[in-house]
Amino acid sequence: MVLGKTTTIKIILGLQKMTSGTVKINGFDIKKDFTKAIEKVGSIVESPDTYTYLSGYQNLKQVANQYKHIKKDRINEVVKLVGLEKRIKDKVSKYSLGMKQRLGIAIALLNNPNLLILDEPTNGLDPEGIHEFRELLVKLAREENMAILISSHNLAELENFCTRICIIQNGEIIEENALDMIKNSNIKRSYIFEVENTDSIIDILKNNYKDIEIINKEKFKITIDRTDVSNILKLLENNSIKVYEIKKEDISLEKAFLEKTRGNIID
Amino acid sequence: MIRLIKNELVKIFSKKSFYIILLVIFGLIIFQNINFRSYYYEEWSEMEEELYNLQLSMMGINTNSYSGAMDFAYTAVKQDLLEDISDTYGNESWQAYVILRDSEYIAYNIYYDYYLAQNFEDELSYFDFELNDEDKLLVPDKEQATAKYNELNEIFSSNDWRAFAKMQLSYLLEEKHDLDYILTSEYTPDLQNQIYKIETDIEVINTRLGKNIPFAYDYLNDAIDNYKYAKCEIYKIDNDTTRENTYENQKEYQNLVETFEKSNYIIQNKLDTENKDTTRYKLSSTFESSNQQLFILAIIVYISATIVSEEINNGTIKQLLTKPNNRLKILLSKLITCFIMIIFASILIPFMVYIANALFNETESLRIPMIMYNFSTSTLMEMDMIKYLFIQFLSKLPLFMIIMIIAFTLGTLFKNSIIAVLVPLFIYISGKYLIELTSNNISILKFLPTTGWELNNVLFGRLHEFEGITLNLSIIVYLIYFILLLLISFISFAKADIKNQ
Repeated sequence: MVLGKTTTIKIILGLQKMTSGTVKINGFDIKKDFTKAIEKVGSIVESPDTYTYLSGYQNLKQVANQYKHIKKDRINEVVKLVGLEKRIKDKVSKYSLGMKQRLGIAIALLNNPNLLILDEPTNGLDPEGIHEFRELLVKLAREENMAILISSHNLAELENFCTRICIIQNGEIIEENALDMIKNSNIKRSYIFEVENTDSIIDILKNNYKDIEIINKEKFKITIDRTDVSNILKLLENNSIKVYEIKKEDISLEKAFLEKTRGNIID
Repeated sequence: MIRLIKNELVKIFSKKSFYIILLVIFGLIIFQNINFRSYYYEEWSEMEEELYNLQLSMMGINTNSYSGAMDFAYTAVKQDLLEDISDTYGNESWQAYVILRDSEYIAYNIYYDYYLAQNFEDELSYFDFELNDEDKLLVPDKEQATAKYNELNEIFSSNDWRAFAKMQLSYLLEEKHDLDYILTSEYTPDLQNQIYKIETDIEVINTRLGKNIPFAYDYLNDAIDNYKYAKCEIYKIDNDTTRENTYENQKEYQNLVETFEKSNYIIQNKLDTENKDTTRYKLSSTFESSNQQLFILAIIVYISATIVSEEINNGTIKQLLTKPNNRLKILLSKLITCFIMIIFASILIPFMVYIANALFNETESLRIPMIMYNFSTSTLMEMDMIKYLFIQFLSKLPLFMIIMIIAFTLGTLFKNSIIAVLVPLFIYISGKYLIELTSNNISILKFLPTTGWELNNVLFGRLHEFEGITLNLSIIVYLIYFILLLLISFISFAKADIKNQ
């Protein structure tokens, strides 16, 4: 659906070469100062790739050995954090997809990162797992002051806990902003009007507005720019229709996304 | 770095497939080393009899000349006699041995002279030509021949080999006396060599008596034969002023010197150093036998080919590359791990051979020291098995390392374990053919790594089978290839993009 997110993440992590531009993490250029730039980064790219012939604990030890100062206590700490205490000595080949994912997160957290990069992190998790995972990320972000970069095409899921969104299409950034701003930016929104009677509504509004949907005798829905709300109110007042309530229909990120990408050809 | 290497080792030794390979190799080694009973000496005399029959049937064509007839008779008599002796004393008896061995010609000559003296007339009528007067002089004196024949038969039936040796000694001294006399009147190099041969025979019989070595089908008698042959050949070459100092001749001379020194060692110490059925021999040839070499290479190639490509294919490479370690450092840690695995395989395979032999063969022979001839210092080096194997290992290290780096580079370049496993093994096998090609003196082949990768051919001053290949050249050619491949793998790895799945 969206092209370029895994490639972008790989470029950030130094796994692929960039043709132009720079990546800086914690102030260090990934090209010139790779080891320093990557030191405080934890990541899962594509899928949590682990050595399936090793146990979960051995996998963590492998990673710990790749850093200079990771102690045994830290391994136990992350194991507890992802809730794998009981199965950590088992071979990864015996793990379920969800357990592998949790092990992947434990690995990513092992070096106390201040930037966590996750590519499609909830793939293969059950709803409960997704919920737990979300809680964990929110906790990490708040308590450990950790920045978390997530790529996903499951927009509904991102909406639940992301604060900033970047939309990439065909390898190009088409929007990068805080979540609220993306949802509220100058695009048409739906409003639900509760009125005395909806019978004559279409006749009154059809000259100026097209997207009108009569829900029942007292409710109709109209998609308009927000500057138009007062105009409609005026029109209704002029036609002596009583307005009881106006409700803005909450737009989903998905809708916002479609709105943004509308008209662009997606390969 | 050490922690990264430790990581790699943990990964290798946690794989089930690795242990399966080791188990299969151990099974094959056991199978190879089960000591099928040696038939070498037991069947030998029977085989020889068959050989004579064959020889006779082929010689039959040539019986219309005197020399052809004599050859025929000589062989036919030997054939008859061998049957008689075998029937009376047994196939394995020293009596059968001294009749059969060409090197112990005296006993047989007595029989032959006696036979010829007895049956001369009959024998002649069988062929369709007549003897001239000169030929008649060669017919032995009947009385003398009979006396010798009786004396020999007496010694044979007394079953005293020492008496036979002493008899041989007196005959040889007599012969030498005659030849010395001829030498005073007319000197020829041939005559000189003949005298030297008799002197050597005398020396050997004295050694035999002194060291108590009976005539028998055994390693000591083999060593005595080799000793005599090598000593006489060396003498011949040393006194041959016309001999050219070509590379081939130098090599031949080296081989003779080595045979001489080694046989002398066997005789002096009465140690069976050449027996191929012993645990000692099998263990010592671990690095030389192509099977065992292939086992070591299989382990090396398996590790080197997969150590990078497997990580790329499983995606775990991302795990490695997104850690604060330089890519070159990561690759170097993997390369060092491969080197450690060469050492591991080079210890494990000899150990497996030892275990297989200790279970199904014997361990007694390991007490016999290993011997190697040093051409640079002209000394015979005596060493224990561990040191010997270590030298062999060092001399094979270039081969192991270059096969390792080929597998390693291919695994890094193509990310395909199958290519990286098969190609190095093909190169190893075709290397053997290339070495054969070098004998055609195609000089370009000198610069292939294959010709110089087995240093045991040039160690301790030994001349390489092919002219122009020296230890120094081998090392230089070898280093160029090694460094080139090393650079290819490092550069490609440093620049590689990890593609999306």
